[in-house]
Amino acid sequence: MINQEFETRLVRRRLIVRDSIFFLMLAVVCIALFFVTLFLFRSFSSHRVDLAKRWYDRGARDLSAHLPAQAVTDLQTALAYAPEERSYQLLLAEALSDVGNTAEAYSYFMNLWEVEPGSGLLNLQLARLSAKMGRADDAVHSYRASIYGTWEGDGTVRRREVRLELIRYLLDRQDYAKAQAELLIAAGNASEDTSARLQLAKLMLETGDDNAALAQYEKAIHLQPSDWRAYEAAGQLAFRMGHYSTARRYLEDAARRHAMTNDGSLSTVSSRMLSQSARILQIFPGADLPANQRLARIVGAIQTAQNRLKACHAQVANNATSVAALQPADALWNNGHVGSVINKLRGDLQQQDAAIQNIFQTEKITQEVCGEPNGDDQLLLLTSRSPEGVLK
Amino acid sequence: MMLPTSHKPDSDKPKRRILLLELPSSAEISRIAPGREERLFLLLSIFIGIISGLLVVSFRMAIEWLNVLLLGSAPGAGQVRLIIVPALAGLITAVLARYVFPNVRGSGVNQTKAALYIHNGYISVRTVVGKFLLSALAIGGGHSLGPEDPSLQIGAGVASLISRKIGLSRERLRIFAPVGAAAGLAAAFNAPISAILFVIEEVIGTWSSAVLGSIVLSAISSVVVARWFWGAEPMFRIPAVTLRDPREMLAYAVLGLVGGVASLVFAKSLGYLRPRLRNLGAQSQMFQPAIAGLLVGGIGYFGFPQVMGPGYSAIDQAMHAQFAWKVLLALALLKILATTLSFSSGTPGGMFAPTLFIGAMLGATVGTFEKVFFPHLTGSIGSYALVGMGVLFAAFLRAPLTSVFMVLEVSGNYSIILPVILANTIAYLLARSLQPVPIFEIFTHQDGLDLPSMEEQREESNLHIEAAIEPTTVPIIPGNKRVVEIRALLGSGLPETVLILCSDMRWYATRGVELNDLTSGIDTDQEDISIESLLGQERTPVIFPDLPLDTALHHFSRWPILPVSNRSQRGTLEGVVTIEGVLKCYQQGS
Repeated sequence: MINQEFETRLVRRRLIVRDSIFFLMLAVVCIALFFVTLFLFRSFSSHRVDLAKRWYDRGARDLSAHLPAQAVTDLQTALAYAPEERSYQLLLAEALSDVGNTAEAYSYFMNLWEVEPGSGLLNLQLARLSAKMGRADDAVHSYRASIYGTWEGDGTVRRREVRLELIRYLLDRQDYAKAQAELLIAAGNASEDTSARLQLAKLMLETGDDNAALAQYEKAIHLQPSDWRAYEAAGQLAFRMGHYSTARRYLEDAARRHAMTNDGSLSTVSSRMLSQSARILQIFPGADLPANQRLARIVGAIQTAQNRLKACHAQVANNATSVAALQPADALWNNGHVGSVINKLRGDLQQQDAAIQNIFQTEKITQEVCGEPNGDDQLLLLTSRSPEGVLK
Repeated sequence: MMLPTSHKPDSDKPKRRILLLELPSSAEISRIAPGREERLFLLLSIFIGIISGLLVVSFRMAIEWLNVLLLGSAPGAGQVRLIIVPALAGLITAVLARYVFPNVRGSGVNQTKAALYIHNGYISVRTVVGKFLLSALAIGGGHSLGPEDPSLQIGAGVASLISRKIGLSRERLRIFAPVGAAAGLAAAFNAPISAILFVIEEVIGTWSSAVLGSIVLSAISSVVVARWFWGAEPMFRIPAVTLRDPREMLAYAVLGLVGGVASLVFAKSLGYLRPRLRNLGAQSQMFQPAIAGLLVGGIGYFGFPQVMGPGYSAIDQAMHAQFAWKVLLALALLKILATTLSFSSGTPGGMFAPTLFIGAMLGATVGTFEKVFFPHLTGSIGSYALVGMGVLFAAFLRAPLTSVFMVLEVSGNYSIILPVILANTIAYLLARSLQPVPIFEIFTHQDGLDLPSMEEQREESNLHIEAAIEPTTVPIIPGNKRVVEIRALLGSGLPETVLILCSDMRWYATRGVELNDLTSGIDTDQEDISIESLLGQERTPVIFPDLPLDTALHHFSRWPILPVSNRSQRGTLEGVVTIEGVLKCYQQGS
């Protein structure tokens, strides 16, 4: 009995030792197998990384060579070896977008965006694709997310560019109210950079906000007085706004600075605007002129207008309808010759103002009946649109 | 299928030498250390999981490495090697399968089941090595097969080897095969829940608490190992999954129908071609994988290289809307063709990946079709591809529960659960009605085996005691009745059986004859003692109506009838169960 118990205990001990050794061996096998697998896996992984890099480089080359379809294939291969590589996914999404696979590109960017929803770049790409797909609300939302998102490198510049892109998008959609609101923010955040101010001014012009645009040009001039582009743009805008005094000043400055840079002369348009501004300021009977000078200019303008009316009559003599259309203009000048008119106007500012209105009216009527005028008639017509701004 | 005709488990041999320590037989070990196997079981499961995980990582690596080496880093249509390589890989595989590794043909699922049900859990080391090498060569060489099922068999093989080496009982050896299978599949899928469910649904067939803990441990261990290497990401990038509009459920129902029909086509193709090729001569079988490789390579060469290999990258592309719906449909049909050729030729490799591929393509087809024709209705194409994978899994592999959890586990998104359940159920029911025999069972019959049908086993209705309860017509005698009274009672006629209610409110069932014998031996001066005092401590086992019917069977060797008690009121009789009643119940099946 005692002997049997001893044997049982012995067998139990043997079992324990045997099982312990077995598990020790299993652990050793696991460790050995782990290191073998790890070694192979590292070698395998580095080979995959090399392959991925090779195909990525090829894809990037194809994309720069404007071969997006080929780039898509290359980048898909690259991603097969490095599926988590975000830069590859990003480039593939761009290639897909270039190739016209908008939905697929969108899906790619969405996948990337889910991982990094605050990325400025991803939101910008999504905004562009949404715009392409006609999802305006999504596009605006993504543009804004991009503006307030994170950017690598010069975030300020990138954000401004994205906001400008958003403004252009809104302008394309003729959503001027939203565009103006964005422009106001952009102008408030704009850096001390002439180009940015010029860009903003251009966009403001597109929204129809000429005053704000002129203010931006003036800021640009203030920031870089030597830059003739700002002067020229400001001059042209002032001319279009009917501010001929300002226009002449800026355009003269532009011409002067242009000459200083030895970069040829002003553009034809600017040169014409400059000469027309100068001439307008010579002939316009402004209220601030001495009485005699003003009277002389009014008389000159009356003669110009009456000559235009005569010429117009001669031009349309055979057309009863046109002749009838000129009758209101004829009625303005019923009081006969110039001498009597001068007497009537002398010393009477009200009569002078009425005469100026008649001149403008005549030019407008003759333009409607006989077409665009030339010379001083043309300038009088221009001033007729906003006479109070001429001397601004 | 070449399966070993004799099994080699030797755990019951009387003597065994390991490290010069002589051990008694396993029966004696059980007597000396009764809790040993239970204790080892869980610990071994972890080791099995770790080793299986490492092997499956190596297996996948081998496949991908071979794929790059043999087919190039960017296989594309028009490359001649797309035809040559699969043919050569097929030839080499066939030669090695014939002369070196005779048991490696097939996917691995049925082989694992055969190990469990026929060979007492035995899978040879040679089979594991062969499965690893030849499947890697075939799949890496471009055959349209997947690595998951071979991984399952590799895991089962590891489990078999380890459990044999430690000297477990035959019963434990058998149980270890599914433990390893779960580990292998979990590592291959990177989805432990799906792997566990699949092994329960398709290998074991029933929920067994005895093995569930080990399966979970091994599956989790292997997935931890696999994720250490591959990361936690699923095999394909899962796009944003959305269900935009409830009307989309209609589209998912259509996907269910399409999936059901596609699985039928797939199953019929395999069911038709596989036995015909197997019936050809041995010499012909040597060349079948090569010819299959040539044809599959031809499909790749002429414009559809996506169908070669497991096709994960194509699934990924389909999920991200990179194909037109006509291309997707073509890919699904060509994949059915390519997989039928590769698998029927006996090339070792699995069916899971092709099934997922076909499902993803069909799902993406439905999604893309709707995006084109009903743009206001459809959600993301990725959602349809994802659901499509589950649909084919449910319909073709007949694993409906796994199919639902697989999609949820892979996508990590529970908002897709409704479409998945709807589409999978439709596909599963359609496939069942059109093709009553599941594909793995078809293969089993073709291989001349008779493994249990998991589908039937899952749906088998379990009989309970309540089905066999009969009204109590036998005499009931209180235990405090005196012997003299019992004698008087028996004197008026001997009942066949009697139930005695003892003072502890338990029952004692006995035959009338036995009771008569018991009381007749009592002297007349002892006639006043109670009958209960003659019965000793033994009582008829307490059984309840909700217990499984088979729990009653083994009691009939001792007791003529079994009283059925009420769970809430001890001593209250619900009725009795007799051996005749139980057998009748089994015969009727309800």
